[in-house]
Amino acid sequence: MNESEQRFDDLRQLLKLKQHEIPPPGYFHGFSSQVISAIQEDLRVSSKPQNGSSPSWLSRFFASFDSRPGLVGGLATSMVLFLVLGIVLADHSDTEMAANYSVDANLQPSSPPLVSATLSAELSAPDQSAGGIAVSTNPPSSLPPDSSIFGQDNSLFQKASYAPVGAAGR
Amino acid sequence: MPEPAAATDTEVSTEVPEGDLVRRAREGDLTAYDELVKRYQERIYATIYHMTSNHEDANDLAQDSFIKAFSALKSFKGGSSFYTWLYRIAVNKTINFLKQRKNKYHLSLNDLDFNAENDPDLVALISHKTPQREAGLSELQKKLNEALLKLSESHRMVVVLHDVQGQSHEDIAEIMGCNIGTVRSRLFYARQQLQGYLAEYVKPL
Repeated sequence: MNESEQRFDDLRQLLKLKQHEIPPPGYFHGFSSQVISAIQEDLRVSSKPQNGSSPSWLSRFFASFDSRPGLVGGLATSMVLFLVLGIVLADHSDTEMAANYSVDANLQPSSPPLVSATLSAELSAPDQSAGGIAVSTNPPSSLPPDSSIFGQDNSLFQKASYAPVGAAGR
Repeated sequence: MPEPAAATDTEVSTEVPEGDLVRRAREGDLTAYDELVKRYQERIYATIYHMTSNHEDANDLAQDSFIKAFSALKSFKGGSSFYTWLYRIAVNKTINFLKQRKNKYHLSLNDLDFNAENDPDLVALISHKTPQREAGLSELQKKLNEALLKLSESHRMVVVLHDVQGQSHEDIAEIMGCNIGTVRSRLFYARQQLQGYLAEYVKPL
């Protein structure tokens, strides 16, 4: 016995008291059968899904969190990051679209000749609109304000009379 | 599924080699595993009980340790003895349990056996403190358990395994997954602490 052991002789004698602590009488008689019963129960429960359908990938995925709780935090963090990234990208693309739109708007002055050419063609051949298919390039905002879905006149607007006097009789 | 045999402790410990029981248990033979449980139940329970100072907690943890060991038996490669491997599972389970519980202790102490009253070392320690020997032993038991609970889990484990259960430094190092030097230093520190907590019963250094 070395010096360190001798220094703690009294303490070691005192610790011998722990060896005299015993569980209730007969405690170990039923211990192993309890363990085996619990194992049998576990085996029965774990074999249940194998009889029917195998557990889904989702249940296996969630079951993996039981043994590695850190994964839950990691997954939650990555989901939040994806969400933030998605929001940032969406904002960025909106800004780009707006920029493109303004560029298009700046380029618009070059297109009126086409629209005016179409309008002039319609004006020059008004009878064609009575039959067949009429194609218009006018934007919706150019619809006459007095039109109504149910065919009723809108009293708030008054038709401007711009037709030549001779054409009114037709 | 094989049913566990109703074998007695003496039949188990003398007849079947441990390696054979482990091999059969690994193949799902619950009779063999039942024999392994019977062989080690007292030591595993005692280790956990001395760590928790609570019979109910020790019962639950000991059962959980054996159940966990059975489910992990396929991963047991035989690098160490089954006994050491089982101890490691029980020790880790107990330390995790104690860490979760933090410092909320509830003593549920087992009774002292008849031999405690006749142990000359113990009698000598308490005889000059109290004339009533039995009352003295109960008081000493409580103070000893309270002092042990003041130690950290790793220090308490070393004291329990070495000074209470008589394990060697080498075995403790293997069970706790540390080197022998760490075991020795932890043991020295833990004894010093205990000596301070139990100063009225032991001679000062």
